[in-house]
Amino acid sequence: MIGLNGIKQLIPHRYPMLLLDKVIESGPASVLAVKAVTASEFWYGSAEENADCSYPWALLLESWCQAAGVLVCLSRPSADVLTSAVPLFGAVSGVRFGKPAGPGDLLEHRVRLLRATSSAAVVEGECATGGETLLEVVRAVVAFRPAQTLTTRLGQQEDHHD
Amino acid sequence: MDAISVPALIPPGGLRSGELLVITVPDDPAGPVRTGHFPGLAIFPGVGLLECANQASLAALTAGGTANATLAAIESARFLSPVFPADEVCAATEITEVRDGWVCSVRLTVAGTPCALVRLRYRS
Repeated sequence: MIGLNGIKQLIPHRYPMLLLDKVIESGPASVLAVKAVTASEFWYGSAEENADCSYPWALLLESWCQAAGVLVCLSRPSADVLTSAVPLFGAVSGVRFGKPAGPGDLLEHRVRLLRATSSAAVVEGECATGGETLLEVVRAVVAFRPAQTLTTRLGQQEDHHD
Repeated sequence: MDAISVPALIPPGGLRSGELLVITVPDDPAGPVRTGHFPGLAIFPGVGLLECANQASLAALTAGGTANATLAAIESARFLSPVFPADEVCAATEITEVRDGWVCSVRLTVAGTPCALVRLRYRS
């Protein structure tokens, strides 16, 4: 099992974008990770009275992707993007959405490694709660990019603004 | 009922300019992108670009007379270049009617450079 501090040693996401609570099972080719959705989350702070409080699908997918990030970072931790390669969402296909999640649900993310190279990994999996499937992902690519290659445009912008 | 939005991550609606939807990535120093994705190097999450594509698609479907379309699937998405706080993301959408709904192909650019290509499927 990997707790919250262990997750923080593997992936660079932090509050409120860290959307995983615990890794229940982990191996070289798969993980089972969980996240509890609660009404006290950052995202619900601005919800209007009587709003539909379904957990936003983008955050559900982000949470699953972070489980994928844990899997691929087990062998190459990336807790600090300034000193290690940045794990980024490179591509995704075949994402199907089921019943929406909401406060009180425990999201169970299962991710399986399909193949990996030195710069990317291909994974698949699903998310469920209480036996009901919320999300299926046929294929997702996690790509590792050195920070300096990502910030080239930022540097150009800063030079231009100067 | 309206679904909860995630305004700190993705401003709802954006501004329409012709057939483009333009969304400015929030640049709040205390916001979730700068504090959490990632500390020291803020990068707009790929799922934020997917939500931009979703908003552009819904706006295009509504403009075409289709109300109440529901996102059913992300058929494919490719992320081509990183997007940063304060970037203006422009989304151009093409709609194809299919048997049980619509497929929206969205090209997202920042300053003319493609940052993502997304295909979303909707059902009524």
